[in-house]
Amino acid sequence: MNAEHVTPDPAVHGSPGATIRAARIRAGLSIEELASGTRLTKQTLESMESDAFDQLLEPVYVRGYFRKCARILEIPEQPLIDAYDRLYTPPPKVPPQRLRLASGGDLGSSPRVSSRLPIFAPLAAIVIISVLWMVRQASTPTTAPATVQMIEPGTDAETGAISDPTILDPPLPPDTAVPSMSTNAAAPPSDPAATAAPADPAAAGTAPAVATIEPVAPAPAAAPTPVGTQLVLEFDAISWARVEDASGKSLLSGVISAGEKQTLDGKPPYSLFLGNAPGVRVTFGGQPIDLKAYVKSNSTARFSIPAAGAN
Amino acid sequence: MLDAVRRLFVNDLSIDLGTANTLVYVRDEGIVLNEPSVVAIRSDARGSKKVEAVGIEAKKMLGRTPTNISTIRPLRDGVIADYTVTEKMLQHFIRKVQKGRMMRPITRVVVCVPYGSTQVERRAIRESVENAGARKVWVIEEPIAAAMGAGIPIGDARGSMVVDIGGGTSEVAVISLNGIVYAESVRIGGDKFDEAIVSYVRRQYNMLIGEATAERIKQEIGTAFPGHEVQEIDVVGRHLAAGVPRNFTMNSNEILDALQEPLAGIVKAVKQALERTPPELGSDVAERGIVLTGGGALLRDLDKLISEETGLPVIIADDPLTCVARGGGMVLDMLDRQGDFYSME
Repeated sequence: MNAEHVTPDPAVHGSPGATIRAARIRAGLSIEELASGTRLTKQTLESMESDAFDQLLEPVYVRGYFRKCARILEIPEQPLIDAYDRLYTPPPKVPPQRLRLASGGDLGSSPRVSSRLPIFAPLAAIVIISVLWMVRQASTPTTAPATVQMIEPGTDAETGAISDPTILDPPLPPDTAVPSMSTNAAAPPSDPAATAAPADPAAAGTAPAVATIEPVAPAPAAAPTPVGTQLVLEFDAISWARVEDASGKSLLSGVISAGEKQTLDGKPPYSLFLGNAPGVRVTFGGQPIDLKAYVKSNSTARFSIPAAGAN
Repeated sequence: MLDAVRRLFVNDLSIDLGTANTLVYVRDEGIVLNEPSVVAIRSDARGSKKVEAVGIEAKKMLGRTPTNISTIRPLRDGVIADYTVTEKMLQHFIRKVQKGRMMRPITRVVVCVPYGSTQVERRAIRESVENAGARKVWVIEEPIAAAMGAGIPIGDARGSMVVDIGGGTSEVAVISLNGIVYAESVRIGGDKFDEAIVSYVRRQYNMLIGEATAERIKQEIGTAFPGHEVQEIDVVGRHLAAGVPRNFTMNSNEILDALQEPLAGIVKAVKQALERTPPELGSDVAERGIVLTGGGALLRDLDKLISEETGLPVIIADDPLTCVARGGGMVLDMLDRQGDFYSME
């Protein structure tokens, strides 16, 4: 019994059940004998021979049964499988509702990462970048507060003309702000010429710059700012600078352009870190500080003012 | 639409990290990689090591390497024997699968472990996959994946028995209602078959053959049950006494003889599983049959052997080699359909 004997039969062509039945009859086997050879039940074989695939199991089993029959009946198995696949469309596979994981827990119950995350991650990234950019934009004019602090006492006291520092600030470029203010205000406390040579150390302790030019008037007016603790940084070259006061409050942090002047006030001692120390002049309480001792080979300087043990 | 976007950023893989072969199933694409689990490592004069080849290329080098190159099979008995090399191998396979993608996607992996593996071995596999680049790893047991991949409806309240014969282990499991009722894992698989052939040849012919030759003999004329026409194969080995290569011919009956011991181990595990299966489920299994999966199922007449020994119908699954990887792929689909991937429960 072989393929040549079976396939030409027009009655069985296209029906796997009929092919098996014909091959079984030709081989002289009863259905019980075939059942015993294949280890399948008689009902299963009957369903197969009558093409009643709905009464049979899932395709994985039925294909296997056809293979077993084909092997015993010595007929080619692939045409049977193909015919079965053609005639029978299995119901769609229903995935299990829940599955125990080998790593613990059940599938479908507690995902640790949502896959929405990767989908929305680019959107979230764009939003975050935009917010960061806006925050950065808003915080760029770092010189403004320092300039305001510098001119405030003098302006209010002497001229009385400009009381709102925000009006003063914008039109003045940082490098011209100080000289122009010194002409308006009688004695800007941070004027380099004035602070460089204080006439009287005792006076300098309270209001050094004012004292040298107008010894009488500004003393009571400038009282709110204790000049003795003021720190003035003048940048001859662009430099990174960070200044913190004794309470750890950051008074200045960032890259400062050449020609700028920063007047800072806080609780001494100040902790300074300058990126390009040779290009920075530091004055504390009207006294210029010699940075040579602090400047390292890479031009940076990290020091405290007043130096520990100085006071 | 959402699926298309997801596919752009997320790559779901099912990995059958086998002792002999590693298969990778990519969701919506199917099996895209089937390569031997072999890595060739080159050591230089300073002692530093570098991966020379992985997979098919490395297997070609097996037994043919100079002293500075060693070929390593990083998995033994279904579990990791060399953690670092396994990681490198997985890294290579995942990169190979994701080659050509514009950006590196988030990789989520379902990986299978033998039922009999210990918690430490499972953790090692999980971490190895994670370190190879997977963001999220689900670990499932091989019998479940094999049954799902074979197309067995594991969710029914009926018993199904699946025997997955891999390279390092054979898993016998009775499954009902999405869970394993009874399972046993024996450390017998394709590797043991090869070893049995090597030792048979040494014993009977006083010849030494390599693992690759033994595997070729097994694939070409190996049989598990007598009765078929006898096939022959010409083999070249090294004569142990003369020390020179010699030709000899083996036939399938000899291989059957050689494989008796490992085959008996598998049959014993199946019988034991049947003995310990509750009677209701046992009758389901008797009615439906035992399904064979894994590369070992391709050994000629293995189904006949188990059928004769147990008296039950034994069926070989379609494409048995890929059942576990495909089953893992179904788990990925299943998770998605249940909304698991889109929830933050």
